[in-house]
Amino acid sequence: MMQETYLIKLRDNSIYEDFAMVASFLKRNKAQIIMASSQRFWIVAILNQRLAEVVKRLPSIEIVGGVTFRKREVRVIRIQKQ
Amino acid sequence: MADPVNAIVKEIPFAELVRKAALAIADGQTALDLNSVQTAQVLADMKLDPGSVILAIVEYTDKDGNITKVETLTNDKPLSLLAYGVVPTFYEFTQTIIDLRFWVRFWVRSTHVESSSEFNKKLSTKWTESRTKYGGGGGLSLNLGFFSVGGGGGYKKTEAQGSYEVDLHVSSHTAYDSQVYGLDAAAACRLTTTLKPKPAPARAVPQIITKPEATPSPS
Repeated sequence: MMQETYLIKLRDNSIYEDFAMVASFLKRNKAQIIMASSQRFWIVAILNQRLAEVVKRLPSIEIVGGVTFRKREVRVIRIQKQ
Repeated sequence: MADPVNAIVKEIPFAELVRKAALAIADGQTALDLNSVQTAQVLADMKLDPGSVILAIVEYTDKDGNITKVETLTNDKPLSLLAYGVVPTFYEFTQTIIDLRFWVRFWVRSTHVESSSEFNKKLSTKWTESRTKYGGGGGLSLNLGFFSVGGGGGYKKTEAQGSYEVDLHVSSHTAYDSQVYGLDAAAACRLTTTLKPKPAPARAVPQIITKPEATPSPS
């Protein structure tokens, strides 16, 4: 089963316990959480499609969508003292 | 009798089934695209806190090029995940196989039943009847040697006998034929599709370039 990166967003009326339950569910099912916000209730995690379908049906979930990280460069600015 | 199997095969709407399968694929593609667009909207609404994302690194060097100080430039305003570089994945059906299968079975079941039975019985009955009827007088008996007074008795016996013999013979014979005609028809349509991530369509997700507002001046 192919692993993909998904954005998991909880409903706006969710509470912290909902977020903790979803995060715990993902960890129990061997998903890899790479970003999360416990204040705004979203998680970016790597999981397989079957698990994504299961997560989509959880009552506190608003959306589950595949995401890709665009290549992002941190520029270096060099300033020489006169 | 016309071949019923051929008649059924002619009635199967192959074109209609293929059309419906293709429309199902198109509906699936639309649903996937809509989900990706919704994801893009959610990503645009989700903000990272000010100061949480490093946008650039500023290195201060002396005349010889040695680094004397390093600073980081971070976002001074909330930064959306879309701007941060998280973009929705779009998917497409790269290959679809529509597999239609039909099974038609015509069958005839014949049954022939024949049975016969015989029953023989010899019945014999014998009977014997005997009746005895007793009768007599009553009284007193006095015996004085030379003189006696008294009453006497008697009986009647009747006998009868006979026999019957009956021969019983019963025979039966049953036979019948039956034929049952049946027709089974089943159809299955299977779609095998390959779903593949693809780059976002042009202009579907905006290209966001983040620039530091002002480059710090050397101190």
